[in-house]
Amino acid sequence: MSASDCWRRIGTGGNLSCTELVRHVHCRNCPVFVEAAADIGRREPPTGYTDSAIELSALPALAASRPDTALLFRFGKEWLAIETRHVTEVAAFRFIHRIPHRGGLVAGLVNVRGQLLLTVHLRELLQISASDDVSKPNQAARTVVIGDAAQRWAFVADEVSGVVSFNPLERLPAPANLPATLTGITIGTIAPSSRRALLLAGPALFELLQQRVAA
Amino acid sequence: MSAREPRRNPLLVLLIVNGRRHALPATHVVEVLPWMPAQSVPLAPQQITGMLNYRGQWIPVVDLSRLLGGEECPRWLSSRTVIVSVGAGPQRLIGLQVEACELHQASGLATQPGLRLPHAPFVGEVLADGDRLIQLLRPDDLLDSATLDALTGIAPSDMRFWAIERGATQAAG
Repeated sequence: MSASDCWRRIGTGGNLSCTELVRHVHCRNCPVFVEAAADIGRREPPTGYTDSAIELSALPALAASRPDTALLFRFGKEWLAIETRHVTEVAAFRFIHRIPHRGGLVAGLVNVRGQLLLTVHLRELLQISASDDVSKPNQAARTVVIGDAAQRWAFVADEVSGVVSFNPLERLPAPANLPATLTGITIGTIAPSSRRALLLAGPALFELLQQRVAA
Repeated sequence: MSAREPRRNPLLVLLIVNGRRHALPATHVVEVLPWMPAQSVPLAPQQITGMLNYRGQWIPVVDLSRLLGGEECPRWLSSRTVIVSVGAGPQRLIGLQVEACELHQASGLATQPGLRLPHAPFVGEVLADGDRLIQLLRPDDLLDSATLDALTGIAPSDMRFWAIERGATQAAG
């Protein structure tokens, strides 16, 4: 049975009079249709098809990697990013309760959904200069909570842009003129939608916080 | 030849030559590319059609139709070069030229013992799929180790002289 387009005449696309429809229900399940579809391939390829295949198959395979996501936030003019798996929460700016006789990097305690978290002056720790207009109250400030199974830290960011996804293989090197502390924990620069941000390594940051704050 | 009980077969890549279906386990198939002409290699063993630059590595190309005793594989839109990983040791690749390529989840198929041919060790069991047969192939036996050794050691710099020939074969073909 090799009718040229029975599916259009007596089949599902036609008047449904084909007896094979009882068995196959729809033309696409019928071997006649399947064979006709395969037949489309039995012809010369269009011009340039083979040549472009030769070119492309000689190139190294695209490294397939799962994109990572990071939280973009800002201290002053410096945009930073930290991978979302190290971020627990972003909350609206909260009042920080100062701890008497504890200053320096410790800003105080903050209440996030009933949990008291230690808030740190992360900007100072990373030696990033503050934005010029410190006097104006910053509406965009957010409390960011980062941590892992063993620890939680909170800090206040001047602005949180949101979560971006980036390709870890497209990470650019970090700029050379960073302060020492920042260099130790930066694993590169990402530029999602052309905003460059320093990508911080979560574990390295936690270690730094433990060293400098918990001491 | 008695039929064994149907067993769950792994995912197969069907290679169609001369309208007949042959299959390789999908685990051995690295990539399926459109059919490409192989650059001919003078004095190469008869089974090798030529060499192909696959991701910077020159690999031997075998025309499956000719390997099975037939004519040259047609250069259709559906024709494919299937990159297959062969050999137990370090990964060695060969390209198989076929008419068409499909995926097939073969479950509950009856296996027949198939042919055991000393001059064609790559021919394996036969699967009965409804009223049609699928000839299984053994990827590690497609080319004998001596041939593979001779060919997979070619460095890219050695191939530049054969590039000139490609212009000639393309003009003729």
